[in-house]
Amino acid sequence: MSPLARMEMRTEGGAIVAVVAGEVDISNAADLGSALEGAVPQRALGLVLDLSEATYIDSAGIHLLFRLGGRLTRRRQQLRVVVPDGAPIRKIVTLAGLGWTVPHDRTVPEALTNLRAEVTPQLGEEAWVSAPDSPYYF
Amino acid sequence: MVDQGSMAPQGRARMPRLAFLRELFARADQSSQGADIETARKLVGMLWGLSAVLAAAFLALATPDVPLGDAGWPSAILIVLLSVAGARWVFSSELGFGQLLMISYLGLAQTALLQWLAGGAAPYRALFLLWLGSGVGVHSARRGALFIPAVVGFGSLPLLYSSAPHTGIGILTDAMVWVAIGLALLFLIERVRMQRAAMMSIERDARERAEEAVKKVRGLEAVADAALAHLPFDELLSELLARVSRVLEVEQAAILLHDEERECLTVRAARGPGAELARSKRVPMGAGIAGQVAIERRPVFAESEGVAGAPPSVVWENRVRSVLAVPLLVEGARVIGVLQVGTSEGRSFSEDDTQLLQLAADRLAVAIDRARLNEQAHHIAATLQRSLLPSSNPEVPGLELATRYQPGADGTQVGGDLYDIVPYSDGRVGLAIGDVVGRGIEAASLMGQIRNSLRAYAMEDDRPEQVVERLNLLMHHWQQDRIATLSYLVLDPRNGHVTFATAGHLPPLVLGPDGSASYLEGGEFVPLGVLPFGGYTAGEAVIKPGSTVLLYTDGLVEERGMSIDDGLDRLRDAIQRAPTDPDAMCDFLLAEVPPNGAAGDDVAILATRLVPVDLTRLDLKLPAEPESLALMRRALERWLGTIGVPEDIAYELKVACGEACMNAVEHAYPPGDATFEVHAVNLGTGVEIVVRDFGFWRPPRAGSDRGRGLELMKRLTDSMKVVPGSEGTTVHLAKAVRKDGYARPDVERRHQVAGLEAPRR
Repeated sequence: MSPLARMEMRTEGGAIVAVVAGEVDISNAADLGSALEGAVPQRALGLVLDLSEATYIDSAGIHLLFRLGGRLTRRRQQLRVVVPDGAPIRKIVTLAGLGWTVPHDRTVPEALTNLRAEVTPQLGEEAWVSAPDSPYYF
Repeated sequence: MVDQGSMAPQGRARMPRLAFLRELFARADQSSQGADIETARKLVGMLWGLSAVLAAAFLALATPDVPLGDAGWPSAILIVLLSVAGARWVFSSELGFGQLLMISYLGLAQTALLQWLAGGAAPYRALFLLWLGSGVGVHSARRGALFIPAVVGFGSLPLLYSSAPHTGIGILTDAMVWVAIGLALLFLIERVRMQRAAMMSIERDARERAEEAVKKVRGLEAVADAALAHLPFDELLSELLARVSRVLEVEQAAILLHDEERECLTVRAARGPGAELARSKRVPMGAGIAGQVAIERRPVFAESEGVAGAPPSVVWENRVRSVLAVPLLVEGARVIGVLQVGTSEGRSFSEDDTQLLQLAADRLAVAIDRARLNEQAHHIAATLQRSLLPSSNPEVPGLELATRYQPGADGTQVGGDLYDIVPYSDGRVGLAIGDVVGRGIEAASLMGQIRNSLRAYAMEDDRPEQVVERLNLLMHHWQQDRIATLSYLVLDPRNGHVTFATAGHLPPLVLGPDGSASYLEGGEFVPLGVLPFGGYTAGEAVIKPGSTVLLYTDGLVEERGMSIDDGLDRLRDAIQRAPTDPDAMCDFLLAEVPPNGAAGDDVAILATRLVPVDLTRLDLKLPAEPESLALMRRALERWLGTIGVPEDIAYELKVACGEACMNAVEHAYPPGDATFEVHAVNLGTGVEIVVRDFGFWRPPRAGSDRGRGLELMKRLTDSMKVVPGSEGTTVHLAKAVRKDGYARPDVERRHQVAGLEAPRR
């Protein structure tokens, strides 16, 4: 079986932007979660998780987002999820009540703006962070 | 000379052993023993001729007119002439010993007559001597002995009429000389004759033994012929049976092999009347002759009623009367089978026959053992090959997959055929088949490399022409002197869309649901490793549900001397007659199509059937592991799409069902091959889904994702029910589907399901 999901990360404006495409379910949620968590350096403002291209997410995936959000908050960072209105998983994310805990935005630039507004940089104004540039498969 | 020679043997014979004498004269019917009648005839004829010549010569010494006067000469000449004629007659006659003896008496009388005519004056004693030789020399002692007094009697006749002076001493001496010569001849000849007879009997025995030995050697040669070693196993068995039958002159012969699993003997080869019936018959250990031999490990012969009143042979039942069976032994003691022969007529087998059969059995045992070793070697090679092929075919919803790999018959060598199945997470499947030029471990290792590279490239890129192109560059770069052919085909079970690229491989064959078959055209280019640059293109086609795509290697259709087009035509004709089930189809094609039967090249086949969707229901049974969820989603998507459920409702059902299945997977006792089932029913107005597992229901902890899962199920469906049971948990989901819109308009309808396509790079 080819991988269900593919993740690519980049650094943008002092934060990590991760794009997850494909399907997230119980078979890959845990791996995806630890990869995301490990990819966010202490100095980064937070993580913008772009789920525009995610075609499926189930409660295991939702649980991952809740947990990741909690962890980053404890590290004084923030998780912002990008789910456009037309995204396939939009309804699931809404039904699961993700918005109550994890803030979500419609686009990545919007998310980055909100992130910078809400999180104080820990090490100066423009913290230098970098993310691995090769894609992950799950 | 005569006197001297006669005394010695006489004394020797008489003095030491009276028993010898008794024996000599006791034999009544040995007139012909040690002598052959033809020589006797010649001897008698010659003697008669010689006596005629001598008699004619003696006539000149004494005028034969004493008693008859003028008639003396003519009478004497007449007698001589008659003798000559008689001699010639005897020479060419068929006279027996008795008649020859009569002639000898006649010769004696004739000599006496001539002597009388000559007035006893001529030296006729020499003629008597000749006839004495013919009398005692030709005949047995018993008959010859009587001849001596006859000679003495006739020789003494001149006493009656001769005018010559006689002395008693002279006459006695004469008689004694006759007797002595006669006896000496008698004993001498008898002795020679007995020795000769003894020698002849020795010779005859030796000849018989030699003939036996030759026959045995021929038999041994027949069964030990080195040329047999090159025959395939089954042919070797039947050839050995044929030779054993010929040498032992039996009608039936059979080889039974020990089946250790079933504890019985199975007839592996048979010939003669009833062979058809006997073939692959099973004989329990201890039953009939064969079973007895297998247990006792020694040859057993049985006739008619056999052992304990049963038919002698379970193999032949009542078609046989005499049966000889020997064990097939290896390593001196292990019985691997039984060789038995039989005749429908009563017959006993000699010790030699048994030995010969045992020898054949030993030979056979070695051959069978070696054949088993060969089979093992072949098995190892085939196992190595299989380790390079997928161990099992993946489950792909909507498809039925069957694969076959049949190693070439000649061999312990590994072939270079490969196939692989690459399931994509979006439900499509990549099907690959290829053939590395060459054989052996090198070809196999290249095959393994191609397979891994193919998987890697296929994971990166789902366009067949790109996968093939990259493989070509890899091959050209790393395997300069190797060439391989390959076909890569990506099939989407949801819509029957097929994309394929072919690198010098034979074209895929499609059997439609209507039974028509055609080869896919397009997407062809040169084999991998030929050109340092690309140029591979994709061919496309859409196949209907119920169609089967067949990928195969050239071993299925190629034969030397036959054009490949004929082979392809043959395959197309065959597939139209084949069963639609892919497994059965593979078996059918393997049996029908290869031109050389099982004796040809390696054959790999991959048959993929696009299963038509049952519009009323969907039933899935999947292993209880996280990876099954994606399979479930693919199957459900395809089914919901086909029955016409709008995409957004289908999506919600998919998520809800996914949550139910996740529960099932979590409930399963790990590890193990637990399964769960999904049954979806099309109600017309909606869809009902039942997910069953076989574990224990565990209530979700508050705040856990499983609680969230239940919540999602509830919200995404119209009704949700969890029924825990002692044998497992059942989750019922139901959702209405309105043709003109959404089942639950109250839920936000803004979002559009972008499609069920998986991410494409």
